[in-house]
Order: sequence, then C-alpha cells, then structure tokens
Amino acid sequence: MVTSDEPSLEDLFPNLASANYEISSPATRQYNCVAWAAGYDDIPWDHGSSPYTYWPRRVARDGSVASLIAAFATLGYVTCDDGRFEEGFEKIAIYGQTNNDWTHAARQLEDSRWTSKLGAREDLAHDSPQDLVCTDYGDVVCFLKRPRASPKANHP
Amino acid sequence: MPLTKHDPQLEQIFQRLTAAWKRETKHLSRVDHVCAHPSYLQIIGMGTDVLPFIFRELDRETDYWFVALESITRTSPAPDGMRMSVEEMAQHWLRWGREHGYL
Repeated sequence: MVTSDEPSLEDLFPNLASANYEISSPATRQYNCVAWAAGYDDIPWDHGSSPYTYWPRRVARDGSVASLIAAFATLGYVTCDDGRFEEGFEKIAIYGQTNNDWTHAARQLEDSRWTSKLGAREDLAHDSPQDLVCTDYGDVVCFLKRPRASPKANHP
Repeated sequence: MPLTKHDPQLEQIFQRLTAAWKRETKHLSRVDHVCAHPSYLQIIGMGTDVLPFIFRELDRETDYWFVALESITRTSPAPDGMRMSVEEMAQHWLRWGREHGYL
C-alpha cells in the first residue's frame, strides 16, 4: 500500500502560517477549485476533454488565465479592480503563474472571507486571497465579480 | 491475460513514485498539471507491468490515474460522449481491470 507523507497545508502555503483559516471539508478528488468557486461540488472544472471534467462550451481549452476568465463569464462574472468586499456582490480571485497559466480560483463568502478547494485536498475558509499565494499557485492575477444570487450555469 | 508474477522490486519503485506524485500534486487542481508530474510520467513509462499496482491503488483511493491507464492500455472503458463523475470513471476502470485480470 502506498503511504504518502502528506505535507502540511502551511508547508505548501507558507502565508497560512500567519493567517486565520479553517478546514471546511474532507479531502476529495470529486471536484476542484474552479468548480467550487463556481458553486459546484460534483465534477471538476477543467479545460481538458476528459469525460470526468466539465468546461463551458465555446470557451478556449488552452489553460490560460484569459480562458478561465471566459469560463467564469458564462456565470455572469466580469473583471473588477480588487477583492475588497462589496455588499451584494460575489467575487472570485484567480491565481496564475508568470506564463499566464491559471492555477487556482477562490470565491468570496457573504461574510467577506474566502473559500478555496485545494486540489484533491480539503476546502479552506480563509481571510484573504493572499493566504494562498505560493510557488505552485503563483500570485492573484485577477478579480471577478457578479451580483449575488445570480442564476447557476447549465451544468451537464 | 496479463502476467501475474509478483515483482516486489517493481512494486517498491511504483510505491515510491506514487507517494512522490501524491505528495507533490495533491493540492493542484488542473488535470494536466497533476498528470505531467515526473513521477507520474515514469509510472507510465513502466508500461503494462505496473497495471496491477495502479488498479490496486485506484481501488484504495480515487485519483487521476485515468491518463496513465489510457496511455498504457491504449483504451478507455468510458462510454463515448457520456459525462460522469471522477468516482464513476474510477468504477468504469476498476470493472475493466477486473475483467482483464489485473485486480
């Protein structure tokens, strides 16, 4: 049997060491950060063409930050200046590498905190998008917003 | 039918590579990033001999083994055009593994 000496979250995300955060779900591969940010927990959102992932129709499958922004645009999100809490709006933080690859997405909660699904690991509630800036996730490269209680996308 | 001879050395290498792959990619979201890890690519390079180990590991914990399985077996047990959950995909592969004597 494979035994993996799993690194701690603070090893992976050094900014968490001085942050306020809580684990809010068990670890699972059933969905990913983009699905979770979009409001789904039944299938990963990914630009590949696998039958076990979802990607909105007519959105490019090139793995770029621009394509991820386009994917969230199908849910009514538009780009905005920052992640400051705005009453009546739901915000998304998109993380990316310097090569313009997207790596992660986090969603702002109604109490102004953020929620993130960390790959196949747990969901996390955290105070700031900066908490997850790290080598593997890169930096926050874009913020999006839409009015709260927007309708859900047509999901497969 | 597959070879069923147990090779402890090969299994040890597989376990070491799998542990490294999981340790270094479990927090990643993108399928292409997870499946491009050097340890994962080495497992694919080990060919059909590792299939029993992959199926056993997939049975223990659902993970993105599907790219490796498709690469090694050159098939996919998922019905064409059917969208499914990660768990359902794992079940399709486990059924295929049993039918072909790997589990």
